[in-house]
Amino acid sequence: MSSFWAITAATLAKDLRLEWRSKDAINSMLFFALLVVVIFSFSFDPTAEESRHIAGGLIWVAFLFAAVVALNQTWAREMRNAVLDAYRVSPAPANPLFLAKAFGNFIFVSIIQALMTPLFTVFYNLRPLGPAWQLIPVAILGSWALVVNGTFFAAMSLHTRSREIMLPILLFPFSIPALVAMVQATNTILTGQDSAKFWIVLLLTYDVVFTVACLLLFETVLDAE
Amino acid sequence: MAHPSLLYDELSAMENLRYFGRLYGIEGNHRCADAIRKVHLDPSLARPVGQYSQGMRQRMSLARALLHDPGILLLDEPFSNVDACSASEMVNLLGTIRDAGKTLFLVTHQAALLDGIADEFVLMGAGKIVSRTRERQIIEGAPR
Repeated sequence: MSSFWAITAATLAKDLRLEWRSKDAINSMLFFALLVVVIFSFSFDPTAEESRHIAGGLIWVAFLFAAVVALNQTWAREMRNAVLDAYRVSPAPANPLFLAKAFGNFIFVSIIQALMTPLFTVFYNLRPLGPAWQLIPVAILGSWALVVNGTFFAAMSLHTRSREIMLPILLFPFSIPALVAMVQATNTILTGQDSAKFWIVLLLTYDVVFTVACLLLFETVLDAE
Repeated sequence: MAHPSLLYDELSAMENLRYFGRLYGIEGNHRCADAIRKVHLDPSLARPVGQYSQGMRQRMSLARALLHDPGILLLDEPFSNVDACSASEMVNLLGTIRDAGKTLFLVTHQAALLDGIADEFVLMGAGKIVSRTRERQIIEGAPR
C-alpha cells in the first residue's frame, strides 16, 4: 500500500514539475476562463441582483470548459515519446497513475478558481447573502466532480482520432447531475434563499460514486488499445 | 527500449530516472546515477532530455531500460537517426552489457554494426525467418 501512495506522489510531483516548466494547462485554462468572465460581463452587464441568479451557472460553465483544456493536456504529455508505454510495462499498478492525474488536475482547477473568483466578484458585483463558507465545500466537491470524470474520460479517448472532441462528448452528459448540483448550491448560497445542504450532499454522493467507478475501471481503460 | 525514447523531454536525465525508478520500487539517486554513468552520460547534467542529441537520447533510453537490472533487454532500432560515431559508441556499450551477462534481443536495419558483438543473426523477410546463423550473412536485397 505504501508503494501505491509512493507511486501516486511521484507521478503527481512529476506532473506538477512538468506543468511548472511548460505552464501549458494553467495558461490555457486561465486565458479561457478570463475570456468567459470578460465577454459575459460586457454582453449582459447584469445588476447585482441579476448576477446572484446567473453567477452560479456562469462560474461553473467557465470552470467546466477551462477544465477540459487541462484534461486534454494531461494525457497528451504521456503520449509524447510513448512514455505511457513505459508506465504500462512497469510493475506499477494503474490506479496511482489515475489518482495522480486527477489530483494534479484538481490542483490546476483550484488554482484557476483562486485566481478567477476575485475577478468574478468584481465583474459581477457579487456578495453572497447566504453562508459564504459553504462555497468552499461546493468548490472542492464540484472541482473533484469535474476532474475525476474528466481524467477518466480523457484517458478513455486517448487512442481515438479526435480526442479533443471526444472528451467533451463523453464528459458533459455524465457531468450534468454534478453541474446542476454545483450551480444550484452556488446560486442558493449567493441569493441566501434556501439551504444548500441538499446540493452539497448530492455532490458528495456523486463524487464518491464516480471516484469508485473510475478506480474500478481505469486499469481496463489503460490496457485497452 | 523502444523506437520512441520513452522519456519526458522536459525533465533532466536524473529526474526521468528517479521517476521511472519509483515505478520499480527503486529509492534514492544512487542506482539512477549509476545507470546514467553506465551509458557514458553525466548524471549531474541539468539540461532537459529534450535538448539532448539523438545519440545521447538513445543512450538515456538505454539507461532507463537498464535501471531495474532486467535479465533480458529488448532493443528496437537503437541505432536509428544517430551518426556513425554515436552508433559505434552504442555498439561498444551493448557489448559491455552483453559481457555483464545480459541477454540482448535487438532489432535493426544496420546489422553490420553488430559484427563481432552478436552471438546470432536472425534475418527476417516478409514476417518470416529467412536465415539464422552465427555469422552475418549477406543476402541479395536484404538489409545489411
